[in-house]
Amino acid sequence: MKAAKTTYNNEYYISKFRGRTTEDQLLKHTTELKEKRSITPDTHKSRTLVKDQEELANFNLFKGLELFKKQVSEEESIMLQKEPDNQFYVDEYQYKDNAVIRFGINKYCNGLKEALDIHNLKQIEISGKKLETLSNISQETKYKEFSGLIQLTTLEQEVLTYAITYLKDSSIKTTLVDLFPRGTKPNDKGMINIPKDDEPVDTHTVVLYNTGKKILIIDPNNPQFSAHLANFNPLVLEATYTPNNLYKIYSRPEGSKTGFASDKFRDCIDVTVKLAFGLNIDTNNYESLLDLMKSQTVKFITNNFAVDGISSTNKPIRLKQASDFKDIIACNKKLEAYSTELKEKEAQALKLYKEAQAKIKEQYDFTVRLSQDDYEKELIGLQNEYSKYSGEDIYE
Amino acid sequence: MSNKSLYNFCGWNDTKRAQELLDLFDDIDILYENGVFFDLAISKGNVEICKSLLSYFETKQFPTKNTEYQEAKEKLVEILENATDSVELSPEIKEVLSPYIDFESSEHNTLNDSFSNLEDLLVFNYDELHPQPEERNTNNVVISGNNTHEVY
Repeated sequence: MKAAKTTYNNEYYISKFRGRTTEDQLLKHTTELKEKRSITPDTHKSRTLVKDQEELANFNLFKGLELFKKQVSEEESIMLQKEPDNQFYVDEYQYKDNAVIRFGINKYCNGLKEALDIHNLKQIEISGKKLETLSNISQETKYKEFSGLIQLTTLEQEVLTYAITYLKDSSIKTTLVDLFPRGTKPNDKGMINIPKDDEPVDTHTVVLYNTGKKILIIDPNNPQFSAHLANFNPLVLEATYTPNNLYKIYSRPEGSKTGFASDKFRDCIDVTVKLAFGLNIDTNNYESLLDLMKSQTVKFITNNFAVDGISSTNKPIRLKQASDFKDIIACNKKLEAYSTELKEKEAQALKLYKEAQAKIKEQYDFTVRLSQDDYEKELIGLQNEYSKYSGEDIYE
Repeated sequence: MSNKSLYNFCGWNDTKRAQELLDLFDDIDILYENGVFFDLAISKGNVEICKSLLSYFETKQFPTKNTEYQEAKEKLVEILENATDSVELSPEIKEVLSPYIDFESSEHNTLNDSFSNLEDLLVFNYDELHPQPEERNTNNVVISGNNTHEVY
């Protein structure tokens, strides 16, 4: 089993705090972030900051991955944090020969909240009017009807433009793009949530997958957060507005935390990186989102019981989304074995209950609870393997 | 505990045990966790489990058709609509669910199905994907082309 490196690039943490005022604050938050982050150091390879649309346009995306291997020095990064003029950045994530590029939006850039406020005003005017005419139809249809009118921000349009161009001009199947997630209910009216306090605006990350004919938008968390991206060019981009839970590849319980420790769930960037890694090496080509949801890659990394048939009972088994697919397969084998054991125990409990002359429900519940507790203990053991393999609580 | 067991048996696609649980116990909430039993059964295309779940809902969980039943049924319909959206369904599953979902008028398509007849005509067109800046304002968002912070 591969031991992960224990060093990391400061630039990753620092760039997360672009826009903070002092170096002291940066250092403080760097330590804090070490606990929070969930992308591993050797997976997150480099970051290139891009100031504006013009610079992004002049950015040579056609030289392939080599361009993005340029490392930004720590000093340079700190300097850039103090000047939050950069609207975009391009990240490269790499594991062995597998790499994926992310076109990121700098959520700390100057003037963002003000600009998004104006954007929301325009949006509410459009979707509000549309919703009035849709009052008598179901919520789902209503959402589909008006979601076609969700306006993309210029930042979203820009990252999409270059991500699509990059996909077209390279042999890579996938790339990642940032967006501003929209609410999943029609009454959210397609608006972007803008925190009133010092918190930055939320950004979300999705995978773009090039089928050769069109580009699929894969949102592992909830397709409805990002389906509006297809409005950029519905003839080329395919998204789904489905509320179907089967399309939720990775989810976490309400109130749970993302982060890097073994008991934390992975964040959207992390999951999209792993999904992209898997799809890059997958020899099959998927023509639609429906096809893709049946792919082996999705089955490997998902934590959705309905997709892979393995219940993780809301435990973040991080090995299941490791960068190395050999580790994922090994993890899945263990999970399947534990699951089979639980199935046998539960079936046995049910049989005994059925055969008992005096059926005592409490006794059945007690037996099943014991079996499930055993299963959970095994899951926690597997969860802890994440830190055992790494030695220092670091594992991709 | 029965809910958790049924969750497992539905996920393992174990029809026999799932049905036994539904026969033996009367404390199961069919709408548990926003209808996860249906998510699991429909994802496996398991007609028999779907039938048993619906039968339990009608005969055991809500034998009396009162207001509470009506509210629960509305929730059930929403759950079924969500669980059947954008997936391929066998005619058998459709038949079982048809008292709750009008498949004739429901839209069970992905966003771009309406464009499916155009797909064969599509090839990547750089100009289409990447129009000139002055043309790139189709979403009513002005793009100046300069680095300005007031427009996004």
